[in-house]
Amino acid sequence: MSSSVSLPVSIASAGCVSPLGLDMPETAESLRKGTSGIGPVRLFSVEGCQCRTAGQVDDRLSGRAAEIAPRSRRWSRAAQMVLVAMAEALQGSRGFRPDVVVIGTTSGGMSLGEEFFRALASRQGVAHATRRVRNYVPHQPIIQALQVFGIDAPVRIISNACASGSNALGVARQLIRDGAARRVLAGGYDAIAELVFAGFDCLKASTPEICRPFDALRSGLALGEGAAMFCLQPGDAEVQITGYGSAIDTHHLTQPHPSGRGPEQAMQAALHDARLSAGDVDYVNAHGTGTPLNDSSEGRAILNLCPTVPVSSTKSMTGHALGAAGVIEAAFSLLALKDQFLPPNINFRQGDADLPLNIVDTSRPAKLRNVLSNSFGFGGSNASLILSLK
Amino acid sequence: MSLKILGCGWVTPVGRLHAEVVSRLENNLPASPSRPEGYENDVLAIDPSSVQDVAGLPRLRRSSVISHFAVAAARDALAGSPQSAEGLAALPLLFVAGDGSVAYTRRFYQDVVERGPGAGSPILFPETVYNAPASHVAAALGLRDEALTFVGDGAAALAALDSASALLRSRKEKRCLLVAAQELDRINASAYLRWHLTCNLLPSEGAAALLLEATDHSPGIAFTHAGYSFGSNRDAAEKLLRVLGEIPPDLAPDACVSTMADSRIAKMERDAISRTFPGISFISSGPFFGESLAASTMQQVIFANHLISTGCHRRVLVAAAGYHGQVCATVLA
Repeated sequence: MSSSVSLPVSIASAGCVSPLGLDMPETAESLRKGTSGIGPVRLFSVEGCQCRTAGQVDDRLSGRAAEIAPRSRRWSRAAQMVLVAMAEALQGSRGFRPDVVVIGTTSGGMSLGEEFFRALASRQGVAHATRRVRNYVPHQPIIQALQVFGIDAPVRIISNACASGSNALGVARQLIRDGAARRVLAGGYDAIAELVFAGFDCLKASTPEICRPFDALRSGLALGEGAAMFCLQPGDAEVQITGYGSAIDTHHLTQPHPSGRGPEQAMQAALHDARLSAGDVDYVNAHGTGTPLNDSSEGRAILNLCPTVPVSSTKSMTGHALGAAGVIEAAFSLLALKDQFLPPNINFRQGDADLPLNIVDTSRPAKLRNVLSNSFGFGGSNASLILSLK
Repeated sequence: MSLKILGCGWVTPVGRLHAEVVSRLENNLPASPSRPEGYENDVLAIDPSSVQDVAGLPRLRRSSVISHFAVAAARDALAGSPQSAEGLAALPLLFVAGDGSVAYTRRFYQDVVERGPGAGSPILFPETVYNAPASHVAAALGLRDEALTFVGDGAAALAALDSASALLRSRKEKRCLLVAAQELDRINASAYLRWHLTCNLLPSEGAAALLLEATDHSPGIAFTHAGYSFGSNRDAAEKLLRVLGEIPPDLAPDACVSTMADSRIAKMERDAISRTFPGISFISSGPFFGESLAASTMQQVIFANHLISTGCHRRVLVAAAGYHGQVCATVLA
């Protein structure tokens, strides 16, 4: 017996910080223009790495955060991103008091963990690093930001690798739909860290060239960063989260099954949850990291389910924000639905003969009602969301 | 709705077999501290031979010990309730990781710092991701459904019980597997030492797993709560009092399984519990389980269930206020 309650889950408001902008209006403009937010890494040395680029949030971040809370100047970049995105979301829903906060992230305060390790190894600045490393806990950026707004709701941290953000929104949807929570602040964050950058580089998952998802000549991903927050509640707002599906594919710790069975299972579960058929989907915001295996697996799943639907990977513009990718791309999907346009998959030049997908290579107006957003990650984590216009 | 515990497993500093662990607790035979090479302080480590049966599984050959602990506890939890392959494929997994695969994370970063970014190991890196142990548990058991990894301390483990309750409310299938695990490395042991986090409570490692079933009337986990966030110890006390105040009068606990740690926050926790439930008796678990964040708290839940099922107590409380800034509590009845 499943829950007898089934409430519509509305997006009351959202905030987004990404390499495409510090708020939703800036982001919308960048998406429409097909702006690339990827450039040379400026946060740490990438000497010795095959990849030298990433999508990084604008240096205006610290100033924007300080306008909201002056004390945030001392915070980590991750916490500043969270603060700015949360402020925009809460600004759009005056008086919103969440019962629970559900957040996706993979690396938390990794840069602070790195600092602690370096201090212990060199025996210099250990006391300072010890104080700071307490903020390594992934709850900390969220709690710091919540305190600015006087919110003491419990914080759930979901860390399902690169599917984390979509899982967070999906869990939030379940809580509201079933009447277990009235208002949920859901989102995610991840800031680029040296360890993670080196990790993807050593796996040879990062591209030494340009990130070209679904292109025949794709050669890997570019990392990204950012945060997005959503105020969710029951009701009939303009855009709703209507479907969520999640599945684990245990084929391999880092590689998806070539058949795309995991992604397909998650997409089908999301469609089932939304009570939609594959033909009802008007646009797929793909996970589309740009790695040969990932795009191939996801592409097969899309071709199996909805072969002619317009598809784009906005990671071509932002890079891969890991645990934040799902929420950032849900924010992009929200903008696409509200403004009725297809965000582009930039850098796409040559179609893959094995993946005859309908790739959106330039932004264009479109009539959209249902958008499917995919997020897949290490460990075989697969999550799909459906956002629908009322 | 309550959560019936159909099966449980634990890998603790005082053993893995249920009778063995309970005997150590009942006979007051605490775990033996050790100081592994490179550590600055004593810890309660797990004897690797206790999880030897899973170390050879294909997915675990290269994995960090946190995954060994988790798979061992999960297998033990399912041992008493055999599931069909279809049943396992539809069994959701909730996993609570404390520090994750911290040993591999430190080793990976050490390589990067000492020998440059190009020296990072492609074998170590994927294991450093928080959800790697959950993926290994799913692979070892044949799970295919939703698998969520939560990150946090003891309060996160108790909040995960609330999440399990919410998850099962929304599904046709009324069972789920909940696993919590933690591993030690000199880096997190050093951090805890310098934070004065654990005082008389030694950092530890291990795992706990519960096979849960949602029921309307059954002994088991009778009260769960989502918890609250807090900023200071004083704030934590107020928030814990709020949580405890929401326990229905008919579930008022007569005992509490507690770490009995000397830290300020642990004392605050016991004070709040005593004020809300005068006369409650505290049963110490700290010398046996140590502090392994979500894992040791889940081990407290398993021991609380033992106290209920053997008739020692009628209603037992487990509460936690941890350094992740969350407070939470649960009652077994």
